[in-house]
Amino acid sequence: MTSYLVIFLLFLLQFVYLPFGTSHFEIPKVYSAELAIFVLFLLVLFDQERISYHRFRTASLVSSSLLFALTILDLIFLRTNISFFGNHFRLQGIFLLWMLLLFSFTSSLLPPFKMSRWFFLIILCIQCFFAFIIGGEGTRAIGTIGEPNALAADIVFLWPFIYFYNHNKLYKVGSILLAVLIILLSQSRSGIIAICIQLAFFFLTYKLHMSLKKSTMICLILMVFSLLLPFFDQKGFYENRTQVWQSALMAGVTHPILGNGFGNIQYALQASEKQFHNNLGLSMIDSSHNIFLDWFVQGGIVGLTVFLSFLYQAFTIFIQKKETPYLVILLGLLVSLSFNPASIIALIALFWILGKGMVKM
Amino acid sequence: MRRKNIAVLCLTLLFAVVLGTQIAATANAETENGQPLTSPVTYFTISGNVRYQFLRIFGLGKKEQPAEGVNVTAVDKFHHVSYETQTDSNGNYTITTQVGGLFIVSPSGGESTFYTPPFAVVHANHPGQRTNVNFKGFVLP
Repeated sequence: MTSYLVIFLLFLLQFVYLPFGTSHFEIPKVYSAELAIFVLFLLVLFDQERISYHRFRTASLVSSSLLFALTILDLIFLRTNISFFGNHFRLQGIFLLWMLLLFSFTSSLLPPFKMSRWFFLIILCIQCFFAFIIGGEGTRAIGTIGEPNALAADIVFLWPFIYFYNHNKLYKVGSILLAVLIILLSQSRSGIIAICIQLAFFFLTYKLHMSLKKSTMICLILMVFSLLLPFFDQKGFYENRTQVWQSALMAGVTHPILGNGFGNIQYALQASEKQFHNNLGLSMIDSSHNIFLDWFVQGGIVGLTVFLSFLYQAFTIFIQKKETPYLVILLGLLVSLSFNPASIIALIALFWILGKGMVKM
Repeated sequence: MRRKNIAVLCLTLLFAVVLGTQIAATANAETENGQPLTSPVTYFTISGNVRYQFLRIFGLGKKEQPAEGVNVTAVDKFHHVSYETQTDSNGNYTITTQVGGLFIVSPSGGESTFYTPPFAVVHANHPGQRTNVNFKGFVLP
């Protein structure tokens, strides 16, 4: 039962679409995710053998406790009307953060799920079908996710499962081609960068036979360099990204230690936009469009350090255990989330994989 | 075991209250500033009715009737995307569009060549709906 819930959250939640909330795509997914995480927690709670603090790494427990304390402080001193539940478009407030943290811990206690090799391929094919028939603004595909870049992030997470679960070369190549096709339909540039970095990781590891540590380091450096791309394209799509990042940086600098409070990012960015007097004043911004900046704006240096600590623990444990699939997924997700706001689907995937780095080897 | 059951019951109750509050808060959400940048797609519904107005000679014949099968088009002037539907047997229509656009809604086809108003402007700056976007088509005897 617990495995089915994790599978639902990781692979089937993306198909949840119900006609209520501000976005029929995102809001029902958030409710479903919160409910599923809570049920998962209860089921794990009943299995007494699995609940033990000794199974987690001390660094993970310290980081999580620090994050929890920070959110409590935010609720006491920096509470606004959107702190706890987030704004009505994404519902990414403190409550969701707690639930995601709970998901990280509970899912990390469970054994790896075993699925038919067809399952992931079918999921990717269904998403490809929906990418063809459901379009968003203009001609960009949104699939059942509701936003083109979020769709690309989902695909970046999904295709490595097919690649690593199948030994047939045809399926491996097919999964990559299908993923590229969906990303092209979504016209997500960040998705293209993410899959390129994932493929670069493959090339370095399997063709050049580099160690996982070196390959990961090179891909992370590539990721950092890819963040410069928006600055070279001032006239086009990226223009907004650089302005949003500048505003976010300013918003973060105003409260550098403890941040502006989790869930309050919209207000923090709005205040920063007013100071900056840029074109963003015309739009409503509720995300830094970069997950690192999101954590910095909301949690300050303390929050960002906690997030980097989660990432460091995940990367080190994956390198030590030679978990190539997890490394590929984590790299892809990080690249994708470095340019876009996180959807609930991407957050679930990210916290699941971060949870894998929380348990002792 | 009993203690565990009580804990689970309390947690479930607490979670139900929090989730219920969240759903209620979202249901009553007022979005004043429009849709955020790069947010998930949100929908806006435009609905109304189209009727035929017959120009009668000596007051004979029908005065009005629902206009069935009239094409109603909503064109987003910002993003150059159009949505089209047809009226039903009662002359009613509903168009579901995406939020964040200035829509020019206009009827065409059917038995009339002149509709009043010729178009309606609908500003979909937040999720929700705009009802009673009605049109009348004049039909000569």
